[in-house]
Amino acid sequence: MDNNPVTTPPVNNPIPLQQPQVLKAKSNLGRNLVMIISAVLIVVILIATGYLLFLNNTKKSVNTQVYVQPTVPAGPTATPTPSAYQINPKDTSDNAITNDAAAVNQSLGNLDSDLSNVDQSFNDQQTNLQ
Amino acid sequence: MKKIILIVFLGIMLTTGTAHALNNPLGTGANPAQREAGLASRAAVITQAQANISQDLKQRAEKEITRRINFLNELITQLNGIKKISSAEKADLQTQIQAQIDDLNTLQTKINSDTDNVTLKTDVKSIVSNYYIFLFFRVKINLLAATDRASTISDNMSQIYSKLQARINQAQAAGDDVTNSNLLLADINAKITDANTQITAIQTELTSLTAQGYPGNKPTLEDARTKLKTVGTDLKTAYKGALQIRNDLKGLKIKNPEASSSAH
Repeated sequence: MDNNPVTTPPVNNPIPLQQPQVLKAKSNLGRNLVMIISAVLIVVILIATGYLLFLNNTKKSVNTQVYVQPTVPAGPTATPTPSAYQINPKDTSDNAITNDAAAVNQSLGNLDSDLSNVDQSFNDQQTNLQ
Repeated sequence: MKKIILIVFLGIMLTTGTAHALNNPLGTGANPAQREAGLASRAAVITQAQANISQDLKQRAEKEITRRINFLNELITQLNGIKKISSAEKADLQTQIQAQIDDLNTLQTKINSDTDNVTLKTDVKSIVSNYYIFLFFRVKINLLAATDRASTISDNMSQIYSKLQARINQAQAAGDDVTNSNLLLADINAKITDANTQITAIQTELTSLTAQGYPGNKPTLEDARTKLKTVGTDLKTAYKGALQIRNDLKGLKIKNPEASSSAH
């Protein structure tokens, strides 16, 4: 019998709890980096998009300024032709005179319109075409 | 992990590169091919802008020419309705107005076919420079039409005057006091006479005026307008006098001479 028992050397087992802690720390670092870069990327994209939109709007506003349509005044109105009321010279009745006077009164109103048209034609202004 | 970083980096490069290319059409700092493409892009923008200017000018010119042609056609219609000017004068005026319409149509055709903006602007400018001719016809025809109406009113007032005179004579024969009516009648006669004198003077003034003389002859047109306003005042006064006589006659012994009238 061998009195010297074989002693198995003690096995140095690594501490299992420390390794996962290191791995977890590395994983957070990478995720943070991705987050930061993504944020920067989004900011850059937003700035670039905003700048492009700004440029487009500027061009459009310049074009609009150049091609503004002027307001064209309404065309002049032509004078209506005189009415064709015929007076019967032989009818001297009150009724006939009243009708004749009414016709003259209407014509005087039309004459006022004619005079307004004359005034308007004197004051007519040329549309700016330049 | 490295792959993700690489993808993100490439994404940033791609985005900023695209933005730079879009914002720098001239391709400054780019290679010759890109620069050439940028110049071509700029030339296209300029060409488009010129085309827009041309289109805008043509549209405005067309609108103005159409407005004038329509109004000149209305003037011809108005002219044909005037009774108290000679046929020869009417035909002469109509020919002149028609010539204006023809010129404007020719100008419209030319403007439509203009290909460069310098010529186009000159043609559009000619619409403005010919404006006096358009304005002259407008004023003259309006004055002629108004004078024609005034002349018709004056004729009608003369007939009413005659009727009132006949009624006053009847009332006087019946023994009524017609002193006031006779005074009013004399005033009506004076106003009608003055109106006719002014109308004749206006027609004489207007006949001799030509479009080529405008705006030099504008004072004559303005004088015709002043005379026309005097005519209007004369005729209104005469009308009021006629109404007064008619009302006075209603209070006299001879109320309504229907039976003695040979009317109808």
